[in-house]
Amino acid sequence: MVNPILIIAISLFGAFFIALISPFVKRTGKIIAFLTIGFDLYIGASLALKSLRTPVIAYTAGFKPPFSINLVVEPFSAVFLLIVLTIGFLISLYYLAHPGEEPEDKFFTLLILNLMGASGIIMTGDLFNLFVFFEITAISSYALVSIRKQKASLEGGIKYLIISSIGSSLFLVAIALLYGQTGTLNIADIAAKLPFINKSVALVAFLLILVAFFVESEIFPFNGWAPDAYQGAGEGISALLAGVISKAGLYALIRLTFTLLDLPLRSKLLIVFGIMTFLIAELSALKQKRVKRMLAYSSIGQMGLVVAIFGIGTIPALKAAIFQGVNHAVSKVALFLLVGMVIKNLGIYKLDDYKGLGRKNPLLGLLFSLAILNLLGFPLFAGFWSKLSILLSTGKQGLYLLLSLILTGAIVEVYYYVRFMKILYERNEEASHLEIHLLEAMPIIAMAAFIIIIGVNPGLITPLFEKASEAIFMKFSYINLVIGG
Amino acid sequence: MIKKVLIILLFVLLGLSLYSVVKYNTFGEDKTVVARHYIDYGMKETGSQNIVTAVVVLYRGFDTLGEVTVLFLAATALGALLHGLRFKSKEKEPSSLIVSTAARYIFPLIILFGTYVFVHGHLTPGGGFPGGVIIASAFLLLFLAYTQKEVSEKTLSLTEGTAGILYVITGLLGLVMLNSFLANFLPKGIPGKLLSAGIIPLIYILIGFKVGAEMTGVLRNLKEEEK
Repeated sequence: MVNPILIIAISLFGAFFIALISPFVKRTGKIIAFLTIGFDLYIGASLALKSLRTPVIAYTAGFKPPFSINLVVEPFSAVFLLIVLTIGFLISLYYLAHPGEEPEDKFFTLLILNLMGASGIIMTGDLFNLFVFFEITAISSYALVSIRKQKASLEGGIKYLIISSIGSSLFLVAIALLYGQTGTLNIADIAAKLPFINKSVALVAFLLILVAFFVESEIFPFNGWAPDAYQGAGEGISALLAGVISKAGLYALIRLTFTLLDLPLRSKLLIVFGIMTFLIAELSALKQKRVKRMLAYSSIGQMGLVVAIFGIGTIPALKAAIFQGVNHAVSKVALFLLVGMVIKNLGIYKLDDYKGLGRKNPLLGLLFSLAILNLLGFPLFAGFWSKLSILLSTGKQGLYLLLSLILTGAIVEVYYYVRFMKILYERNEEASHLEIHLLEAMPIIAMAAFIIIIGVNPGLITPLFEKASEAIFMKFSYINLVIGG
Repeated sequence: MIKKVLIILLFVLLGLSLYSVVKYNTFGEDKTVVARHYIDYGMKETGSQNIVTAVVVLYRGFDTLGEVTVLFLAATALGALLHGLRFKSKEKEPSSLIVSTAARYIFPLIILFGTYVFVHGHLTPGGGFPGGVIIASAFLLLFLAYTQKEVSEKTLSLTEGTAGILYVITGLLGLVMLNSFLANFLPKGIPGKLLSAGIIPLIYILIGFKVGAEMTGVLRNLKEEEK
């Protein structure tokens, strides 16, 4: 019997175990983190498979909700759980051969707990419990971003800390307002009582939640922290920000605005803020001289695009948004890890320093190109199918202005990424040769394989997204699932 | 200038919108749904005389495990960020005879009081978190009174890690025996007695140890200086 609680329990066990033995046996964090996260992924994958047939619900403390906290894994949360844990696992695999940040044992403790927080956000069925896991994810992220203790990482960390703390206190106020109205904290229970909630209270709570999770999912104008955090963090942690932390924030944003407070206002706000983020971030990426900062802006832009598509709210659009979210996670994590390998070997940060690297190191160049082409939606890669479904679902709704703005942003994106690829393959005799550790490259090769396999046969994965988008679209089936039975 | 005006406007807007809705949430009136259930059935269902404790440790025990993790994270993060940094401090004056003598007598009393607070969490106000902090304050007194005094990192990590792992195991035992994580698998006993409320005192003792060790660790990290 797989129980979602096990992910939380095992992660805590791993984290406390590192704390227990680290003064006696140093440098075990790496291995323990790898094993713990591997186990989490195993549980998460079996849960996800099971939830496609029947959703999994776990109660805690021996009482039924709304009196105690429950965890729910249904197809929509299953997809996000899979993204987060798979990416987390690949990052921990990468760190097996890549030096972790110092102090290493504490770094890996933070990494385990960060993933636990993200999985908790995705699985919980309780509003306040979501806040607790949100705090766990956020606090570990601040520390992971600033652990390098260089000027840039401290700057990123402290900006993130301040903005995200304001966001989380707004979220807390929203929880208090909703609890005052309904007398319960269970997400399904509150959702069922939405018609009885005072209209203006619901509106204020909705806006507070929106702002809080716009901060986490890097939506303009609440994303001032993001470029600095991405740039200052270690490359593995930038990958974590792109593939795990922002995805957990995105999940909470969607779950709370689709299931908890399903207000008609949502659609407009998500589309407007999303597309604004997409355009501004892509234009900012265009003029960056540093690779990591360029990728950071591109990451923010992608999050904006995904949020805007979620805003359309039809089943094909939801499906497209989820698909694009997955593709973005895979590509961006691969890119950040590759940049990490380059920095470890050569210590270069600027775009121009990459001149000829791809020509000199064929494997590196190939992996870079695959990840970039996938992000751009080149035909026969997974990204092509998600970009195509974005355009189709937008066009179908007659949102032609949105469609043209998406295309504009996409053209800007193509321009700076192709420029980057051109630099990679430029003729340069002085380009250095990279020592690539196979274990270090493994996670990236795995992601490249995913990109190609899904690109050739998207039918392998689209049924999963279909189920997920149906699950988030029909909020009453979620309510029935939790408090009906 | 425009930026500042905008910020002020934003805060005024936030304040106004909150002010306009707070009146719809009536405070101090009869409790509804979940809170009503806790008040009416809390003692019967959990065996804890202190209903707040019953809510914190059992009904919403999963949140409490999360809060314990938040504290653990904060301590770990602090340790990680201070790692490798050593602050120069002024030559410390040894504390006066009065402080060091008094500390010797007060230290065990504070520890005793802290222990009392976390052992009686299910009966009286308090519990693992305040109990643990009280214990840490005893160590703070020790650090102030005897500037050379050290608490070994090994002892702290051992206490912290063991208490955390035992907490998780307690939760898992509930999962194994009653098919629900953190469920009470021990007899409830008679409310009001020291040995009652099943796993609540057990969990609060573990939290007491964990919080005590963690907060002491934080103090230790902050007082460490250039060697």
